[in-house]
Amino acid sequence: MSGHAVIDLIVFGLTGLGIFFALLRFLIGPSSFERLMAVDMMNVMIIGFISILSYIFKNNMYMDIAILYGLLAFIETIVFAKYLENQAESSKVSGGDTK
Amino acid sequence: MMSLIQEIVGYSLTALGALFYFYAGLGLLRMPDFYTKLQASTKATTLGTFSVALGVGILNPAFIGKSLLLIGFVALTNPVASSVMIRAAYKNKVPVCKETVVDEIANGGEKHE
Repeated sequence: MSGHAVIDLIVFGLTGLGIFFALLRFLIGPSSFERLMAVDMMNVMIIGFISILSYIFKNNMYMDIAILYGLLAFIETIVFAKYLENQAESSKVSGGDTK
Repeated sequence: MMSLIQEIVGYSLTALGALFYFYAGLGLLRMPDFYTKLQASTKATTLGTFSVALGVGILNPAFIGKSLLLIGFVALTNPVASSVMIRAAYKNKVPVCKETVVDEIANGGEKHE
């Protein structure tokens, strides 16, 4: 095993462990806000993962994929956060309990 | 010789970014309440993405333009996303952990002197 393969293994292992922990938080998160936060953090880690893949495969197009993935992840986070915020306000107006 | 220095610096930056991703996942899993989890994971993933993208750009200089574009994009979007999420959580009264000392929005924004 050459030196490059060991370093690639360490890099992919650490990034994959981070994504795995975020996935665990998504599965066990008590509230929907924690699930939203876990999805957002997982998306940012996947951006870094794709940009490491662009070096491994020596293909410039993976960087474009990473940037577009980041744009879509940002829009997803904003839309879900706005949805949850408006849900809280509308339940307050109708007098419902916000548990 | 130049290529060796380039590889050492690039691999060091990429491995540092991967280590920060690992710390972000650990903070996301182990912190006590929503606000501390969001703070730990947002800061660590922002720095990790900067470091990984810069390391890839140094390892292969044909990628440096798009790497800098990715760094600028993450620097613009990641704080905005975390700010919107934390405002939604505060309006929805997500509970804080029992070690919390002060809540300045609930106190009318005034400092305790």
